[in-house]
Amino acid sequence: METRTDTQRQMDKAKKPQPESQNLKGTFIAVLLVGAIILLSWFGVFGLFLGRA
Amino acid sequence: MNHTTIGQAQVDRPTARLSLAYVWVAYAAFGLAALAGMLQGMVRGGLVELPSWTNYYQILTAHGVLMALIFTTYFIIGFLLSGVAKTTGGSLHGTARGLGWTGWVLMTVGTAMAVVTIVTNDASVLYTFYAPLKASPYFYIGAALLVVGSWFGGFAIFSSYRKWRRENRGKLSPLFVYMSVTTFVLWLIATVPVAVEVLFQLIPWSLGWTPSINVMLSRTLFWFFGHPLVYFWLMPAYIAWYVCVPRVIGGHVFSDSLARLAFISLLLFSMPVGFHHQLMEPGISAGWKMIHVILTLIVVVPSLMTAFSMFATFETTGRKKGGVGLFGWFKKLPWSDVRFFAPFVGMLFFIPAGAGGIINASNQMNAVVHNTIFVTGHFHITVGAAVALTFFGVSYWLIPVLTGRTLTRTANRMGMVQTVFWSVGMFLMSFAMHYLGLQGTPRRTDYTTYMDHPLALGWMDYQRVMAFGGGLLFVAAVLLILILGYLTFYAPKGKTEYPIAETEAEQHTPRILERWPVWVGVLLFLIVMAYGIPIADQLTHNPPGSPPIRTW
Ligand code: HEM
Ligand SMILES: [Cu+2]
Repeated sequence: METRTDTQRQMDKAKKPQPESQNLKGTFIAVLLVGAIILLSWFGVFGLFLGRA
Repeated sequence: MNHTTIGQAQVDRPTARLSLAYVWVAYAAFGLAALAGMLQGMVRGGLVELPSWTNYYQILTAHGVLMALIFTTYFIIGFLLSGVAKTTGGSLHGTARGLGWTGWVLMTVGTAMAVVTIVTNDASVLYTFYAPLKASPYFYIGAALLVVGSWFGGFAIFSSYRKWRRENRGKLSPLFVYMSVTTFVLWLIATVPVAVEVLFQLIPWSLGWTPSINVMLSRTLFWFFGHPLVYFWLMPAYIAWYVCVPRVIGGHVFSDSLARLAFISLLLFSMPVGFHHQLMEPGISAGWKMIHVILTLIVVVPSLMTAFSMFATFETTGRKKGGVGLFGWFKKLPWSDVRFFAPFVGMLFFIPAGAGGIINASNQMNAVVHNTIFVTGHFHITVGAAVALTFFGVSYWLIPVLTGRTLTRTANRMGMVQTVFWSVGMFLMSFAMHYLGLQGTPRRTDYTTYMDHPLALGWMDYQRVMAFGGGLLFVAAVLLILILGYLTFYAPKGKTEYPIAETEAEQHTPRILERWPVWVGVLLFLIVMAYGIPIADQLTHNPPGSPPIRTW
């Protein structure tokens, strides 16, 4: 019985749309951009190194 | 209503005076150093020639020492003492204040000694004071006093922390206090090797008691300290980012555990990594260098955690204020509030700065940029932009809090102008430095065209961009000091908030994060692993030492 109501409650919660404030899509894209900048600069200078080695 | 001031005080008077004493020495050093910095840019750009009573390396030493060692250390201690007071009930108890003042006196005597020897041209050894360049013994004694004095600032923080824990058994410490303690655990351990270098190598040698010095060992001890030094600058800026900025924008700390975990990782991986500054040195084997490089790159983890945390705080706050869509929240941030704007621009600078750091630490690419002005460009966007802009942003509210005054609308607007000048100046100067460095332009070099070599002549345009950026920076520095002077002595009296954010709901932070013996133990283990054998090698297979050299 206990378990059923718990599960029920969890399902109700999952169905409710996430409040807008918990939406972190922008954050996700932003950190991906940071990662991309790191990779681009690293390979840029590595290219210079290979060109001069 | 007649509330007692204790309930309302942000920071009580005696603590405020202590903190203010630190902050103002910081800005005095900063002002002088900014003048030197502008001159360096002008000299390198061929725009001015220095008078015969000084020389490039003397002002370069003054700039490096005053900015990187004096400005930062004083500001950090002043800021953290105030925040620890604020978050543990509004004041420091007598013992902590006594320790704080003792430290201030020791540091100030040390600073005076170092500055005098630089001014008399007896210490043009640059801020890294590498042997075998030899300065006056008073320069090293001054440096030792500065370091020992700074320990007392740490003791003051530890003492307040102990008192708080005694009175709040079983509770998790406030985030600001936890982060300050981590910062000073790092500082106390990191400064031991440099104290050993100064006390047992440099001072006896500069006094002539020992004829020669083990250069390799001295550099190893220096960088054992030198890398955690940069985290010591960064962590207080992170404290402002994690704890103060969220409150300024009306938001919350995103995750308490994540913030604490980031700080513990910074502590652990700040020290077993110094060889990334010595990648081009003979006398350390490639294997040990590789181990240090791998441990260095782990810092990507807490750095990206911090980036995530910042964006998450901004996004949740912006959405609550009605921002919609993928990036609508971005527009809802308080863009005209300098307390947010200055540290935010600092965060932006930290993105290319972090990328540059990974480049510097990669062995092959270090060969491309080592000792070029790329490196100088790198640390001007880390400490000179990300950290400095954050400290400026903090000062705009901290000084009014400490003096019981208010940041007026006009002062805020002037602060915005100041931030723009500093940012544009730093962008131009550092961009030129990075670009020139990739072409091979050396750092730490007086004006020269290398006998009109075409390659070096091609650098001149960018050196002038550097000089122009330096000019803007100097204007920003003067403006900053004027605004801070106004906030200290003239701004209208009133209540200013000390911004301290909390998490939105109660969060469960793993208690292990506050078990210091565990973390200090792991750190010591890492240090012994990373440095034990290489230092033993440098002691047993030491090359013939070097006599002192004076190049100026
Ligand atoms: C007014 C703003 C500033 C200007 C115009 C400026 C300019 C410069 C220039 C032109 C150099 C010398 C490049 C060379 O010949 O190698 C330099 C070096 C340096 N700067 Fe700055 N800088 C400024 C702010 C800062 C700040 C805020 C910090 C740190 C908190 C800082 C730390 C340093 C350090 C550590 C060096 C290296 C000294 C050495 O190589 O021994 N600077 N700066
Ligand atoms: Cu480093």
